[in-house]
Amino acid sequence: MTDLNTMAPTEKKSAQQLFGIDSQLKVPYFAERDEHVPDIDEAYRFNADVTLAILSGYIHNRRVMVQGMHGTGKSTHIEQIAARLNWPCVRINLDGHISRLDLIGKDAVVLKDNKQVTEFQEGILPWAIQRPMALIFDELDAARPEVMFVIQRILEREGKFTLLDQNKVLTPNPYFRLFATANTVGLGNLNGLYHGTSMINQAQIDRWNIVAQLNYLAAEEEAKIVLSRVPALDTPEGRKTVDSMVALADLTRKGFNAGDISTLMSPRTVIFWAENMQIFHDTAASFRLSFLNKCDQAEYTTIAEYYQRAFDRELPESQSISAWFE
Amino acid sequence: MQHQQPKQRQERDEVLQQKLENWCATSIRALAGEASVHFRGHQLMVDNKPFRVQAPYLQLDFSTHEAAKLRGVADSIALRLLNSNLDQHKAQMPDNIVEKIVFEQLEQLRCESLSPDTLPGMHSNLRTRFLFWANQAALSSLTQNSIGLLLYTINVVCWSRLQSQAIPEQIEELIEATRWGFTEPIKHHLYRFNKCRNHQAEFAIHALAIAKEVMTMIESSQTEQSEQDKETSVVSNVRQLARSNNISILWLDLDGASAEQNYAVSNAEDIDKTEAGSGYQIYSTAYDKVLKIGKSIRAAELAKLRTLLDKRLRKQSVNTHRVARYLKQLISSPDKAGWQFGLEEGYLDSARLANLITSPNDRRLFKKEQIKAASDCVVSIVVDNSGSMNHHNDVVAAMIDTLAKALELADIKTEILGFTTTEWNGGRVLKDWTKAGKPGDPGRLTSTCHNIYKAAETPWRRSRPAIAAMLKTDLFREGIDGEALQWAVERIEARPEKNKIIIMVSDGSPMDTATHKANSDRYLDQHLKYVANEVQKRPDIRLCALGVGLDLSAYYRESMAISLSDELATQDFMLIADLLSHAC
Repeated sequence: MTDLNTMAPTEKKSAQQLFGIDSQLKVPYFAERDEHVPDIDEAYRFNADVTLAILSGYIHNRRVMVQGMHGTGKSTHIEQIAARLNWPCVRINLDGHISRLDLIGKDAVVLKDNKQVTEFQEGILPWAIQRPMALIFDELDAARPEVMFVIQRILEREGKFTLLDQNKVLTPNPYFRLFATANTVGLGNLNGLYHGTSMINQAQIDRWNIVAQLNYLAAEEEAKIVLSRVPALDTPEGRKTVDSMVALADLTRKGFNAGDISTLMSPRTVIFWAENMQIFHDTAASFRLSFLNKCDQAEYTTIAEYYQRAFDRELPESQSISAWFE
Repeated sequence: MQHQQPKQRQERDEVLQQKLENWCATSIRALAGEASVHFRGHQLMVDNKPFRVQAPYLQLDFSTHEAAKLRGVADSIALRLLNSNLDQHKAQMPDNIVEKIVFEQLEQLRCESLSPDTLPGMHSNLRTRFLFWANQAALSSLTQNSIGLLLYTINVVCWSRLQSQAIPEQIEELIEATRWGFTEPIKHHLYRFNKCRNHQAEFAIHALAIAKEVMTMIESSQTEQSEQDKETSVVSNVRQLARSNNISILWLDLDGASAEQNYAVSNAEDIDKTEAGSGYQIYSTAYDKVLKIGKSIRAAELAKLRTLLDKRLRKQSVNTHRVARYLKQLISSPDKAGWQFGLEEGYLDSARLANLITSPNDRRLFKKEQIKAASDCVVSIVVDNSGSMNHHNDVVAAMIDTLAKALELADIKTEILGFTTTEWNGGRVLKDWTKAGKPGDPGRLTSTCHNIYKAAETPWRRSRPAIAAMLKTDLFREGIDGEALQWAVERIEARPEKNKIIIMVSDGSPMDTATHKANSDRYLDQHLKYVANEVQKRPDIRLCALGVGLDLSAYYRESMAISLSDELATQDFMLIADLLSHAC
C-alpha cells in the first residue's frame, strides 16, 4: 500500500457512471482505497444539482458548503461521493466546545526514553492539510464563530497555513479538499428548529466558493430511497404504503411551513418509520414511535388529520373533534 | 333564566364554528401548501382575499358533527386551490345563473377528481362528503321541483363519471327519469371528461356546453312564455328554489350575484374601509373623559364590589400558578442575569486567584454568566364596557382579574383599560350639534369615557378594588372601539418594555346610536377595522382579540371566541395564553 501522503488520483472516470446523474463530467479517481475512504452505500441516491456542486469542489479545488434541513443527507452526500472516488475523507463534528487547540494542535506531555517531555502534537487541521484528504466540517454553524477564524486562510485556494507555535508554514497538499455542512446559512436559529446554532461571520461565509442547498427531494425520489433502504417493502402493496408515507411527510413539511406544527418529518424519519414497520408490523404503531412521540401534544390532532388523509385510518388522537359538540 | 338559553347556545355555536374553521383551515394549509389560508369573519381568505367556493356541499355548518363527514370540505377546497386557476375560471364564467351553477359545480368536481393516489384518505373523505350532501338533498324539497331535480341529477351524474364511482341505489331511483331525458345530448361531453380532467381550459369547453344544454332544457320545458320572459322566470324560479331550502343546497349566495362580482365588491369594500377609516372625524372632544377608576368611585363602594368579585372568584376553579408558569414559558426569553461565582468550571475568576495560593485544594475559582428567563413584556387588556357586556360582566371581571394576577406572577406587566361613552345617545355632543344646525358629516357624535382600572406600574394587589369596579354596570353605556384601541396604543407606546401586546375583550362591534344615525351605519366599524389594520402593520405592538361569545376575526387577525356561559377553567386560560403567544 502506498503512503497516504503521496497518494494522488491516477485516472478519470465518468460522473454518469459513478453517480448515475446526467452529466458529461469526468472526475479524478484514486486507484487505491485507503483506510480513510468511507464505505460505499449502494442504496444511496445522488441529487444531480448538489452532486455537481460537490464534484466541482473535488475537481476544481473549490470550498463547498452544503446547507439544508436536518435529515436530508448533507454529510452523507459528500461522504458517498468520496467513497466512489476512493478519496480519503475525514468528518469532524463541530460543536460549541471545539477550541482552537483541538483544531491546530497543542503541547502535550509525552514519554520519551522514559522521560516526560512536552512535545507539540498536531491537531486535525495541520494533519489533514498535508494529505490528499477531504475534510468535512459537520454542523459548521454549531461551532463558535471566533474559533472558526482559524480556517479563514485555508478557505482560500492554495492558502497556506501558519502554525504559530512551531514557526512553520504548511503548504496544502494539492488534493486536500474542504467541505462544510450546516442547517442554517449562518444567520442563526430563525425558525426555532436548530437550537445551539450561532451566527457565522459573514466574512467567512463569503469565502466559501459554493453554497449548495440540499432540500427535501421530490416524492418519487424519496420513495425510491426508502425502498432501497428497506427492500422488504418493495412489493406492490409496500410501494403504495411508502408512497403514502412520503405524502404524509410532505404534509408535515407544508404544515410546518404554515406554522401549524413545530416538528417536521425528515427523509431520515421516513426511513426510520419504514424500518420500524419491519419490527412492529403495524403502520400506525411505528408511526407513533418514529414521529408522533417527538411532537408536541397540542399538535397531535393536526398530525392525526394528516395521517387520516394518507392512510384513510383514524389515529386515536383525532377523536377529539366530535367531543366539541357534546 | 329561560330567555338566556338561546343566547348561550348562540355563543356556544360561535365558539364551535371558529374551532371548526381553524381545524378545517389547518388541513387546507397543509394539503394545498398555501400558508396564507385562514378564516376571517366566517369567510375563507387566501392571500388576504376572500376565496369563495360555491359548491353546495362545501359549507361548514352544523348539519353534521362527525369529523369524517366534515373533512371532505377541507379536502375539496384544497384541491380547488391546487388545481384551478381562478382568473381563468372567472374569465370563462357564463352570465346566466343556471349555467353559472352548473359550470362552477363541474369545475369543483374536476378538481376533486384530481385527488392524488398517495392520499387515499382524501379520496374517501370527498366521497363521504358528497354522498352525505346527496342523501340530504334527496330528502329536501330541492328534488321535488323539476329544475332542482335536473340540477341535482347533473351534479350526481357528473360526479359519478369523474370519480368513476357508482351512484347509490336510492339516489339512482330518484334521478332515473330525469337522467334519461338529458344523457343523450350531453353524452359525448361526459365521455371526454376523463381525458381532459387535467386541463382546465379544455375541460371548460365541455362543462360550458353541458351548462348551455341544461339551460336549453329548462327553457324548453316552459313553453308558454315569450323568449324574454323565459329567462327571467327561470332565474326567479332558481332563486326561489334556493331560498325555500334553508340549507343552501344549490349556490351559496344567489343574491350576491356572481363570484366575480363578489370579488369586485369585497375589493371596493377594502378601499372604502381604509378611506373611511382615515377620514374619521370627531365632532367634539369637549366632554371626553379619562377616569382613574380607583379614584373616581368611593372607596367604600369599591370595597363592597371587591367582596362580591372575590365571592365570584371562589366559584371558578382556576390554578392561577399553573397559568402563570405556562405564560412565563410562552412569553419569556433567555436573558443575561449577572455572574455566578465559586464554580468548578467556567471563566477564571481573577479575584479568587489568591485563594488558589492559600488553599490549593479548593478548586472553586471559576465564574459563569447566568442566563435566566425574563419577560420584557407588557400586556394591555382593553375591555369593552358597553351596555351589552352587562350579561357577562361578572365573568369578564373574574376572568380579567385572574388573568392580571397570572400575568403578574409571570413577571409580565399588565394594564387594564376599559372604554365606553359618557352618555347614552350622544348626550350633550348631540345637543350641541343639533344647536349648530346639524352640519353634514359630523363624525363621532358622542363623548368617550376611557377608564383606567390598572396602570402598568401599579401592582395587581393595589389595583384589586379598582378592578372590582367592572361590576358597577351603571357606568356602562355605548362603545367606540376604534378610538379606544388608539388610546391603548398611545399608552402602551410610552412603556419601556420591548414586547408590547394589546388584547381587546369585546362582545360585539362598536356601537353608538347617535353617530350611526348621523353617519353611515358602518362608520365606527370601518374606523375600528382601519385602526386595527394600522396596529397590525406595526412591528412593535402585537394585537389580539378575545370575542365574548363572538367571532371577532372580521376585525382582528388574531382572535379567539370564548364562551362565558360556563365557569372558566384553567384550560380556558391556557388557551388565552396561547392566543397571547401567537400574537408574540
